[in-house]
Amino acid sequence: MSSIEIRDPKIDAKKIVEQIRAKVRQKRQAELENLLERRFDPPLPVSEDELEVKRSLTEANREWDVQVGKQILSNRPIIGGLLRRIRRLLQTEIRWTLDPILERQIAFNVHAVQVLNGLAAAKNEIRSSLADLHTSASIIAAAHLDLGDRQEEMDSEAKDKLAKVNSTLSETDLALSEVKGRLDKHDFANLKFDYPKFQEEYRGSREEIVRRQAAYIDYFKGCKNVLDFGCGRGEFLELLKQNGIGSYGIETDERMVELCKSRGLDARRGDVLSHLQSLPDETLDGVFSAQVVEHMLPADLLEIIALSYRKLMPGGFFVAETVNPSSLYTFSHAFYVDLTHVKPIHPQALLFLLRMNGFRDVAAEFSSLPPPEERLQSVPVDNKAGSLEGLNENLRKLNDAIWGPQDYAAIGKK
Amino acid sequence: MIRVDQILPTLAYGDAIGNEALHMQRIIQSWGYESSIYTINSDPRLTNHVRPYSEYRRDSTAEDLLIFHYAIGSEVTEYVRRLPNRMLLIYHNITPHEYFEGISDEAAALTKQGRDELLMLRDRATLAVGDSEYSRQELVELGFSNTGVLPLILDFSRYQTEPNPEVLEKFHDEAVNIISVGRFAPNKRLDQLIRLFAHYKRRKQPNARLFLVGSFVDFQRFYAYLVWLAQILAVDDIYFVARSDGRSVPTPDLIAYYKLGSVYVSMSEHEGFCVPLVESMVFGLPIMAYNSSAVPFTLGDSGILFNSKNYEELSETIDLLQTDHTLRRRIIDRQRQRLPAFDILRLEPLFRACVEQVIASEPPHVYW
Repeated sequence: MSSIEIRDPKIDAKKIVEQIRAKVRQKRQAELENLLERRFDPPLPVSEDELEVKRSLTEANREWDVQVGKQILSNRPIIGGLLRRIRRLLQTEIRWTLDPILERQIAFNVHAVQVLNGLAAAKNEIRSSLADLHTSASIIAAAHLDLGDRQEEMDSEAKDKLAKVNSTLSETDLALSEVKGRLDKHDFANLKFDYPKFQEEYRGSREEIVRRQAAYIDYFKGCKNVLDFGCGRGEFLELLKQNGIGSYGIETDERMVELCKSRGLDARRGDVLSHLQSLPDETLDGVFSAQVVEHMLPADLLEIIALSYRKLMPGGFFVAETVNPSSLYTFSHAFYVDLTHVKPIHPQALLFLLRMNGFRDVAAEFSSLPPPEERLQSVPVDNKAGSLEGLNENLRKLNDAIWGPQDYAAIGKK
Repeated sequence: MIRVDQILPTLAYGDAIGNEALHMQRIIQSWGYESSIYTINSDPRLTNHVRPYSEYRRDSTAEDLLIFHYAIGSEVTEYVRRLPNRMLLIYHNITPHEYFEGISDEAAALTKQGRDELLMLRDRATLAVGDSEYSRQELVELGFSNTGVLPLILDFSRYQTEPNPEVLEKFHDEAVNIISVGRFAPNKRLDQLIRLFAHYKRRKQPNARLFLVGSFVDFQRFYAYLVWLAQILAVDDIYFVARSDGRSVPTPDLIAYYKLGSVYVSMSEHEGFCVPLVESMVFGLPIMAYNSSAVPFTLGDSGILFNSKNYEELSETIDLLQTDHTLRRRIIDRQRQRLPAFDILRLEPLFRACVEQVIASEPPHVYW
């Protein structure tokens, strides 16, 4: 914002501001020069009285010696010689009595004149110091004035800036609350969505899931402390328990946690990231999750994998089952059925992440082929129609592409 | 025929709001309505014009229309809130109470109360108008739904008064006279104006005077501070033009100072309307004003606004207005072109439209 506003199209306000600023600069320069000049001003003017005193001092310096050294002369004829003789006699006689007094007077005069000379010198010194002080005082006064002005300027500038900061802050607050509002919408925990019921209907029955997940038990045989993050209804926890494997689940949905608890399973409500962070290193002997990572933002997933590696004891397995996007079938039948899915995670991406974080023996295990009747059927082959084999081969590829396995699990060992 | 009355806590002689109420009364009566002014207290010279506010309910019927001039907290607000009448609220704005803290506890309390009580009228006013766009925006922020702007109605005939010749005579010379008019209230930042003047006089133009025309009764402590400030800055030729009995400066004197003025300077940080700006336009006095609150709305596109209080630049600007005659003439012309916005010929129909809009509205639901 310009410092001065004149809202008149006929007046060039910008030019006037420039003109004013130039004048301010000019004035500052002139004042500075003036101050510098004043330093070399002649000392304070000398008054008439002072000149008189000066003259008296000069006199005093000349007249301090009151010795009577006058030569006795007389030019009168005849009696001149007699007079001279009488006067010399008198002079000699008077000297006898006066000289001691005069000597003391001279001694006094000498001291007095010296004192006066000293005082006069001191006075001159004081005078020139005073002149210096005057100069300094005027410099200080000008500087003080300047400082006062600057202070006011800075005060008002600071105030302006503070107001700007405040308004930016309130704008930021506003933006923040908007962002928070939007984020809240992305947080599925805030959705008024009955996820347990949805799972019941679309994920498959509990028994079906238990049956599917039984294949993963081998990775955790003999373990004592397996973490199932996003344990949901607790199917895998139950499997682990049945196999005598020590385990617990972490789940954000309170209803799921309650469901698990009612089945006597150790499920705790919480966020897996902060839970993993809170654990001492190398305390888990297995990490499992089924159909969870596709609900996560990539940044969270990266961190969870890194943390899992740190928290796993050497030899422990990390198993994460998710929807397999390399089967096109999953897009029409699985992935987009669930509103809370963030993005599908390609097996190559997940395997890469595991390897990158130090897991070894990294592999993908595919499961849940679509029902065979939904896949293309091969055409019977006779001897003549060798080309039919190629057709079948194509059909097989087509099947893989469209009706490939629906899920995969990424597995790694520390 | 219904009545159209006005109510306000205090009717002070020479006060802008009091003047407006008296002027409005004459206008309303010229439309053929009966109209009185109700107050808690009023200037003894005006007692014939007003009635005690507690009589209003007895004097009126629920059909009558009430105009409430709102500028400060008082017992009137609660009284008015419970009335069954349709109401035109005229909001004259309220100085933020922080300005009065440590200077006048009473003013601080009344202004704070004023802002708090204003909210009580939010659902009560049929139409709420601000005396400037700035005040209207504040009403909208407070949640008033039906709002408008009705600029302060000024009695321009007052400015036809002859200036006091003694004052003109006394200061008739070549000096640059900086003028500021208004109560010596802290929000007007006369302290900064004194500092600016000290700067200008010492560093730019020794032949300069500062006339602070107003009244100090409500803010003795601030006035004492201003006098002290002038002393320690060792700057002469600052004139505090105010009467110790608290009455406003007589009109012929006021006009004489406007006529003597070389420039009008406002450092004020809060103005609800700022009458002296319009008065400066009338008397052809170029205006330099700090850009705050209602000031830019009252100036329209005229005068010189400044956004930072840089004394060096402001001193040069004052100087420029004295030396660049073309610029000075152009600023004064532009200010004069702004005047019709406050002309009664324009404001009376606006005022009438407000009153008629309220008359045409449904009576309010009043909850006791």
